[in-house]
Amino acid sequence: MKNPLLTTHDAGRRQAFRILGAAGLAAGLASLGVMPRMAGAATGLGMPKPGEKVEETIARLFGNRPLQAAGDKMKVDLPLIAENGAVVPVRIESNLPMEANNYVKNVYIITDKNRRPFNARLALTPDAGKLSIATNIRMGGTSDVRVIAEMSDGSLYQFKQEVKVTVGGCGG
Amino acid sequence: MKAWIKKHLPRLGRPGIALAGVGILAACATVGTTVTSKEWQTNAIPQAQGIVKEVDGKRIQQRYPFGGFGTANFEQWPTFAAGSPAYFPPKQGVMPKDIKGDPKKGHALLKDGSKGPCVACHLIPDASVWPAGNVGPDLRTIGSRGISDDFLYQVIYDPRVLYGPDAPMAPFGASGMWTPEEIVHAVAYLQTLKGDPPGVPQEVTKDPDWNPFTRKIVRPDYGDPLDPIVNPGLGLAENLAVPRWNKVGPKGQSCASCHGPITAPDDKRTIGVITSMVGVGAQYPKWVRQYSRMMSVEDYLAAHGPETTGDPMPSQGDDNITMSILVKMQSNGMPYDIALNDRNVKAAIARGEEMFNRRVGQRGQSCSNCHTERGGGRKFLGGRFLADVEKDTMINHPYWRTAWQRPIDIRIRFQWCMTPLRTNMLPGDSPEYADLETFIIAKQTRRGDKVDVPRLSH
Amino acid sequence: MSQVRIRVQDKAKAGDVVNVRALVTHPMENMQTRDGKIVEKNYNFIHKVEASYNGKPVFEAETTQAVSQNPFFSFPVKVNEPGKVRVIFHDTEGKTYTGEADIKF
Repeated sequence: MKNPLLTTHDAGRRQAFRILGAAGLAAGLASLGVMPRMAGAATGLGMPKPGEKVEETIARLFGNRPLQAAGDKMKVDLPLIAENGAVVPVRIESNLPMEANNYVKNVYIITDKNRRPFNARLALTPDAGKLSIATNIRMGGTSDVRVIAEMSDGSLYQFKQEVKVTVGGCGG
Repeated sequence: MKAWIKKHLPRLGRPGIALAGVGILAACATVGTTVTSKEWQTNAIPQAQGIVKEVDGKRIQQRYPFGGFGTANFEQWPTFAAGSPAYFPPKQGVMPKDIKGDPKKGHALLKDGSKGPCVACHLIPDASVWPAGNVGPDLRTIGSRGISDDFLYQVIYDPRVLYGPDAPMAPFGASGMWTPEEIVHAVAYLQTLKGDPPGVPQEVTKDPDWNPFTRKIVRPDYGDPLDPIVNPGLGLAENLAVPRWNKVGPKGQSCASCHGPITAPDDKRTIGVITSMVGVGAQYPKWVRQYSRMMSVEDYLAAHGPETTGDPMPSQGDDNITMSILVKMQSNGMPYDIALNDRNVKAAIARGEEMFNRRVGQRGQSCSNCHTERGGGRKFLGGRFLADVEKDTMINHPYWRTAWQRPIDIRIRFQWCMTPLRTNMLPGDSPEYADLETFIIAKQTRRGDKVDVPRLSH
Repeated sequence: MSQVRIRVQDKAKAGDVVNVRALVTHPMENMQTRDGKIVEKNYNFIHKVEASYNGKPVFEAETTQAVSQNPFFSFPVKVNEPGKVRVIFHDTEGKTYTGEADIKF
């Protein structure tokens, strides 16, 4: 099987995370109906979608349900300063219940200023036993990052923190 | 260069070969010898060879296609190559009196990325500067000190005239990076920076991270870099270097044939233990008599790998870098231990020290300008906290570079530094870079710094 | 040359919450621009991750290009018997990458 890491010397794709921050550029592009060329891509899952403001993302995902501050219900480990936006570790721990009829169903990670703020949705079942998840996200630049836990009854707890991205100086 | 060759002539097997052309040299790479990048037949992948060529009527230097290396050609400026001409001496500037300085223009110029930028090293009262640096003096009250325009002009034109030949700042005017008119605007802006009240730095934001003098140094916690789930570099090494170690090449043998098998991992060598290699990586760079030059693990693998197995392992290629990870991590936790008393190593350290302090490129700056206490050592260059060669382990390579999502060795790192210095890079496996590496690892050896490969870092 | 790596603790007992950590080597192609416009093409990135324990779904992720290259996930599973964790990564080219690990008691 081809190892994508083997592309050490192949141009392309790398720097593009920078443009995640260029909001709105792609508005409407996805609707132009360009046919996907690749096998298995019939759904066009990888086609660019229009840029979105964070308010639109929140409304799309949660309607007008209130976002309660998570406070000490959720502990999120995010760097205050990230040396680059390509890999920003996010670790989430919580003592929110994980019981058959009352559990954390989804955890959303949202970067306000990315071109499309929605980073990922991580879904759990009561069998998880405890909320303890982690992943690495891309950020287009300094931004608030939100972690929103959605309970099985639809209530929402939000954690929010600014992560400053320092793509600067001589790059290190 | 002549003096250099003369000094090492007895060591050169057949120096004549070097002049006989690239074709012969390539064939002789394993028997012959060379001392400078001009004569060393590089074993690096094409992007790492520093090739200068003409494309569409424009001369470019071929570099890596990732990471913002670019292709700008700086061949008219000094490089780290042995025998490269010296940077021009300190130059007196004369401030043009017929141009009226515009502080607004000056302010914009100080923030212009293509003009330095000044704000990567100096603090100005402008909250929009992010991330601000503090390699140079805080300029927030510079205009309150009664410094003359002519003096400020000269600092920007060529600070070496005022602060001595090792002034950390680039001669922005004398090098042609700034025009006299631009400097006049910058001076006009600097004179407006009185402070508020005068003499007291203006706090333009309450954010303690904005100010590099109070900014916390935070390293993101990615997890244990020796854990293959956390560090993709280990996974890559497992996929490439481990099978390569056991692969029998055209010459009928594998690495394992001579150096033994890879056995079960332990907590420091998390992709496997190679007993014969424990401690070996810590002893490099080494003087290799066969090639009459210093060689890092990476350099040596590029020559020794093909020589023994018949399969190429070019410098800066994935196979070379991952094999270097596998070999070097066998020494994890052991102090760097290069042969400080070997006379060839001593000579390499001396050459490396000269390189470390050599002004190169259009900027005319040296490694020491950023990596010693007098310059940027342990200060912020923009958002980047610079290492100090006297205090910090600067070489623990290869490591997994999160920004590029690939493992890099110190040579790619050196080559990366060349871009902001505005100097052409040398081939990754050049003897010069090996000398520079030797100078730095000699300091790590004296301090007892320990091998820790592969790390996970920006 | 597996592209998926999964790690779990060596031993567990009934009722433990085991952290499963999974990494897939994948470029997570990022948006490219040409002349300031986004290049229209089917970008190849992981858009879905599914994990099961002894065949029962325990974790799922919906992911975008704003997840780092070589995506990494850590998630919990409460185990009542020994068994097999399976993680399947789906990319937008329709390829899947599967990894498995045993949780022993």
